[in-house]
Amino acid sequence: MGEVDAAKCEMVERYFTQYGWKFNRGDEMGTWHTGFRGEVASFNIFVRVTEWWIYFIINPFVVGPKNDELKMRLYTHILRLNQDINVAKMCLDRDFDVVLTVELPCDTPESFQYSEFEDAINLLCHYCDTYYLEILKLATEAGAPSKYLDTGSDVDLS
Amino acid sequence: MGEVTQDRIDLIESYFAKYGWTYSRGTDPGTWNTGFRGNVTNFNMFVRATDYWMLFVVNPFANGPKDPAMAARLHAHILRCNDEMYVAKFCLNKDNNVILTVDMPFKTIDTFQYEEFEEGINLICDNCDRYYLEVLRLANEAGAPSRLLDPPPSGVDIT
Repeated sequence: MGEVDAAKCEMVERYFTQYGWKFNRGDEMGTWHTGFRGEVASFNIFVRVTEWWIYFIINPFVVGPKNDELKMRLYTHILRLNQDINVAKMCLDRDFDVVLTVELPCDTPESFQYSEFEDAINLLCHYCDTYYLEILKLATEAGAPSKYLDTGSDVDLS
Repeated sequence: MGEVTQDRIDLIESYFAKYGWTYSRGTDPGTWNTGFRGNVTNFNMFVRATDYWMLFVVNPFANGPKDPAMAARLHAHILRCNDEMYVAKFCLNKDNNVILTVDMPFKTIDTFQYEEFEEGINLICDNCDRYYLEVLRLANEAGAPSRLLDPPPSGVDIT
């Protein structure tokens, strides 16, 4: 990951303040904890800045299912969803929980503008509000609907 | 996606020239086809500029398997890969083929620097070389190994 310099940390904290969000510094330099109340749930966000990148991470976004049938539908769904979400991505962590991240280049404090920080948080919030419930249902309910997987989803009704 | 302006098209073509890669323009404005020779195979890359995003795409990266058990294993593996990769990600297209993409904000021509374009292409190339063989095997061989799914072999205790 590389060392993170103090100027970048100051920048991120300035951007948090400008955005109007509270935060706690993490144990490691260049990490912060924050969160928000979305339309259907509250989410914790972990923010990390490194030598080259800035990460906005919700982990877990949804706890991974144990059931193989649920896993199969959930994994296919979120991989299809990955194509529809810009700059963000869904992953699985080591515990096979679903993780939602937004990652952006952050080479220097000068090159990473406040508008990018704002966009990243706005996107994360938007994707949480838009996709959380359907992913939660797919992770917990057998046969939960998926716009990508269910027969007839591509039927042209025109 | 929205219309892409001529100044954005000119900017990306100047970046291709600076990077030293040839390309052909795609059918739609703001799209280009290019490619490269990786460590184990050649890859076609599709590049798209929109009024807000810059996308670098290898589609298909690997054809999706028809066998449900192989698909399940492949999907779990590439979602674990997504956790390893910076900025790049694996997706599935409508045919359930695996796609590798890098997408970045492209809000204005002043803010999208050459270094970001270079980074986008480099990330695609690096991840193609890093992941192609293992993803290809998982897509084609039942029981192909996955370092991200299979428990590590237990070490021999020589004490």
